Amino acid sequence: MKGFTEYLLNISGIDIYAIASMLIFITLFVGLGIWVSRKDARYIDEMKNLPISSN
Amino acid sequence: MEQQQFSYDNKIVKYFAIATIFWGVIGMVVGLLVALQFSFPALNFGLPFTTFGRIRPIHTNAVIFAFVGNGIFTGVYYSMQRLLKTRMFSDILSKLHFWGWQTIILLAAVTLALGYTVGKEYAELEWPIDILIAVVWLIFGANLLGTIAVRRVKHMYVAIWFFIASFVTVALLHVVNSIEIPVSFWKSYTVYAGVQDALVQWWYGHNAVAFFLTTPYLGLMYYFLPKVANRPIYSYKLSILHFWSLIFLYIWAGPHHLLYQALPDWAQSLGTVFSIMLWAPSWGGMVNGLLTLRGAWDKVRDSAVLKFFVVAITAYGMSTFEGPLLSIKSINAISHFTDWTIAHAHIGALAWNGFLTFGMLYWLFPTLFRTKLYSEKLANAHFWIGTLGILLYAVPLYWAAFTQTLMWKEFTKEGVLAYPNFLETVTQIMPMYHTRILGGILYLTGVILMVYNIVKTVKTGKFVDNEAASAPALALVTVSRETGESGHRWLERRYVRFTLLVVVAVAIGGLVQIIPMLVVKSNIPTISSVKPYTPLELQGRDIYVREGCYLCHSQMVRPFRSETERYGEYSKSGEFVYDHPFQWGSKRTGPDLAREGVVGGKMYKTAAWHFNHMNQPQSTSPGSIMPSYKWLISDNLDINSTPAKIRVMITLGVPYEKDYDTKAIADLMKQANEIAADLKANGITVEPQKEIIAVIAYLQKLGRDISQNPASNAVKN
Repeated sequence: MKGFTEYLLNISGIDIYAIASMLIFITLFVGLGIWVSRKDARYIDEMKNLPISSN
Repeated sequence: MEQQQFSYDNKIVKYFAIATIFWGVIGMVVGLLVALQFSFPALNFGLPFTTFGRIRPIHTNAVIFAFVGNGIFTGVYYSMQRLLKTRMFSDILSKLHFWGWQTIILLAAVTLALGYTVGKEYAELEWPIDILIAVVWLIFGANLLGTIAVRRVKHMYVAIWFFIASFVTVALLHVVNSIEIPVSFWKSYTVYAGVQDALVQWWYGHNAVAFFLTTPYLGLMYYFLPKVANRPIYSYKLSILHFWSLIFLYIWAGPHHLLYQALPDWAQSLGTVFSIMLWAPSWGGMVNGLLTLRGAWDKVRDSAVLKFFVVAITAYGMSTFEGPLLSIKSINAISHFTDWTIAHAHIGALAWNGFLTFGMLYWLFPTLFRTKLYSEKLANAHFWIGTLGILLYAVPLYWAAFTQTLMWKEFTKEGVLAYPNFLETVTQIMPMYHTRILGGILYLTGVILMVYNIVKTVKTGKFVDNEAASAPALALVTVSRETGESGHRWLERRYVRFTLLVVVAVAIGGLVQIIPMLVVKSNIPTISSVKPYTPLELQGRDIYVREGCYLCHSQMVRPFRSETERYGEYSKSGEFVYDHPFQWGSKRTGPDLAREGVVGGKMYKTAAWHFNHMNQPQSTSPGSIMPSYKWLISDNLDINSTPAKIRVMITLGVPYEKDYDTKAIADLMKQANEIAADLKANGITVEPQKEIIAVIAYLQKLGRDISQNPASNAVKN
């Protein structure tokens, strides 16, 4: 398995995957947090009640 | 606003609901048979069609795609219409979807029994059925998205997001994992080989659990739980977080099924890290479900439906706690290849999928038939019997897993394996297998009570095919964002864009995993002594795949002392470059076979041993629970298929010499005659064209190449 890892490390720029993964992940969650926190209460209330009000 | 009159299509919901129950019973009966076969090998009946290796995929396919699949569609067709205040987009598409899906299930049952299989777990079906699945899935998708397009509600409720994500991702997974080159109408080879195939397969396998068994059912939870409890979901904001983080993270975690196996470390680490991160959204979802019932727990006492939901959601929490746990390398080293995996899968299937389905059906049938449930008492009895069944199923298997794994790893003071005979570790856990049967019987008994209860309910009610409804027409939706409208709200209105965003979210994780594997293809360290299979070995391998040997035997020696002592040298990625498909397996009911062909090795067996073992396993291994494979001795090998198989292998890049397909049969017969002569020398007379000869050739090839000439084993690019 060690040998295999070395082959991967030899691929030029393979470390970009680790960095990109982390950046994508952080961006997504920060963005998501902002998104959700900015939701207005009326909309949330309306959506919440959809299954109950629908027949 | 103009009030519009329309009707809900209840008939299609009823159809899917009946199919759910029908296939559920069948899938569970077959499951019970599988469990019985462990305790009583005679129940393999000595027939190819009823032997474990073929029955087990029928069980898994029936439960996943027939029972849970129809369960998904029941819930989707019921809730979509109500949440969007519209009839399904097209009745014709609904019918095509229903009958198409049932046809696929029937074809699957028949072809799997006949041994037509690709040999990849949960993706066994051969290429013509794969194409049919893709077509029917697209029909479902068209109906789903079409219904959203003709809706009378401005925004999509969160349940529908889960449905969209499920549709999109399952389509992607199915197509990528099923790329095969046909040899004949019922035989194909996957285009991926070895490590790549393993990675693609478990990217699929893991995400099939995610996007077939989890996300659509979360959609059902977000609809039916509030509906039945008659109170809104605890936190809608949490459900938004749950959705996006779950679909984004899930897809990265596939490699956790291949820890300590011949897979690059970075992929294993990626799988582990993202699996652990999955804890957060999964538990967010569970908490959201359970807290919906805050202040209403008295309702749970009175309602069997809510009881089923509570246990289902709790089991979702338990399963998604256990999943990341199992993907921690040190825990996986203990759990992998044992019954722990089986127990884990059944907590998900029996409790999360099963109980959520039962709750939904107990609510849906009286609602559709405008009556009351025939007997709440019987439903409660079902709940308790089912719960006990789950415990009696899972607990013995956890026990079996710990016992067996500890036995595998135990060394004596002298430093040798305490239990060198694999079979000892199986006979030790037989009582656990017997107890598990009881769990299965109880669970099935509960389901039979449900069938009776529902039949009685239906008889007292009156079904309406088209339920009248009315809703205000939806005002023309503007394309651009309205003033004061947040980004996400706008996105929910624009469902095509929403769908595309879902594609992007799942594609990122998929690509991060897949691209380096494609890049690495040319970098897989080849081992010069590893040669392509001879025609006879290739035919033998196909029989190995056909009989589902990989369901009990792995071909992957992990780099642990306990494994190298038992089996031999640990497996390297370069050994599998000609394996279409890979056959690493995921469970060891029998020993690993990766070093079966190493002459002088710990696992090596003679041709005569293999012959006797296949004929009557107990003759060579007393107490073995392996079924007999007598028909391999009497059936002739389909020798004429050899040239076509070689041609496909050449297309896939396996380095046979030019025009080798024309010489393949001669080579096959030459090798077959040698093995027949070897058997004859040991007092066994068998014609060289019998299937058993090919299987022996294949088993004696396993691991032989890397053991033959250690000097030439230098890793090369």
